[in-house]
Amino acid sequence: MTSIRSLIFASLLYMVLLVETQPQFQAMTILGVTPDLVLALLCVYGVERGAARACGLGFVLGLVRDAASAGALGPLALVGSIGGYLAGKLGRRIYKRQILTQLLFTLMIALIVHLMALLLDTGGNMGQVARSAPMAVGMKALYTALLAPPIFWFGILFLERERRMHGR
Amino acid sequence: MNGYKDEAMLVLAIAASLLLIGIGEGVVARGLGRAVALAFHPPRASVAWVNEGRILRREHERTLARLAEAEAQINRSRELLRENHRLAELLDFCEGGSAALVAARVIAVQGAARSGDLTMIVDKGARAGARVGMAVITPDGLVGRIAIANDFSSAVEPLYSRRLAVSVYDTRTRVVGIARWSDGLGIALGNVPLHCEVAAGDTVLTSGLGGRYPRGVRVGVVDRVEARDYELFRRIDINPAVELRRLEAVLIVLSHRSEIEELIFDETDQTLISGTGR
Repeated sequence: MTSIRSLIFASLLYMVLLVETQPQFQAMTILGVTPDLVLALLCVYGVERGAARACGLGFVLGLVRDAASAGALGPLALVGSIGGYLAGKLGRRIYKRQILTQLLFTLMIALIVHLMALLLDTGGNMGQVARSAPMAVGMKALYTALLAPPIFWFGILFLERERRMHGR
Repeated sequence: MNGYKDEAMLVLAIAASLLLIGIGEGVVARGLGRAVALAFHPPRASVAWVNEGRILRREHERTLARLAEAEAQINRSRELLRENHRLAELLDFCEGGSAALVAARVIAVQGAARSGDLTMIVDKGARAGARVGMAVITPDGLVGRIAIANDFSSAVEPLYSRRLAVSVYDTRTRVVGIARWSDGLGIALGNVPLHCEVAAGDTVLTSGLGGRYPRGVRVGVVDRVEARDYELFRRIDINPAVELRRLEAVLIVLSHRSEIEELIFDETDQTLISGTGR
């Protein structure tokens, strides 16, 4: 049963990664940015499974995104690892079922992760970071956070039941 | 050690990430990129296939719509061409004859030919010069006469009306008779004595007698001739030259010269030309 749920969650991740690369996904663009659905999934995974696993998953997802973007390997893997770790560490202390908490938690993680990604992308050029941050970080994080509650709902549905079965 | 599992995992992941960044775009990056592309290829191909189908369907619908529009346009063009021919014929007819004509469009047909109350409404009335009793014709032949002339439209009483009688003559034998609607049997040529030879296939034209209709307008072709010994006149059926139900445009004869007028005018013209009339 556990493996089936893990498989479902893995399929969900796979689907989200696939959807993000489809041209139709651009229809979700608001003010030039698209939501980071994978990060929202990573947040809920971190809340449910802890920092170590979330860090590993973040690394793998980042690596896949690096490979899919045909650029250098590593930057998104690094950012994903840190994001997953933070989600796991901070997620322990939040009340995960409250929508506002989910929203603010995802917003915070997304702000950190996207800012790091921007820093790595620009090579630390602060002027460029300052120019791009409002949209590439702020708006993107906000958009991701707004979509977080339904993703949290799905994530908790799959991952929490599994935990109950393990008697935790 | 278990208490530092999270941190250890983080350090490991960061180290691996930095290592990958250090390696750069090498064999590992290419291999991994290829693997990811391979992993995402089937669903992407499926989505692309579905999208392509949708695009093709949309294109198909658009093409069908364009085809329908093109067909409608072709039909409109054909209709215009036909109308053009018709109007050209009417124009030739107007310019060729000695009568003053005005073209009118048939805008309604009421009643039935079989019951003898067929009436056509045309879009020219008194404002265009139409008056009650004026003949209505087409290049094919006689249609009827104007029964009611309103300001902007007129009611035309066609041959298929029990109130209409036209003086006609047989072009082959020159026999004169009266063509009128015969109850339920179409148009009949009456008042033709038994001894007069009229045969099927003969053409019947208006005689111009009475002055109402211009002379020489085709009325129809003799369809059937019956002669009974005990009757005074032959029974002659005429096939009208004009298919009334298919009429779209007609000509109203505003004025025409009668036979006598033609003679007088011709003589006057000759006199004027030769200069003896001064």
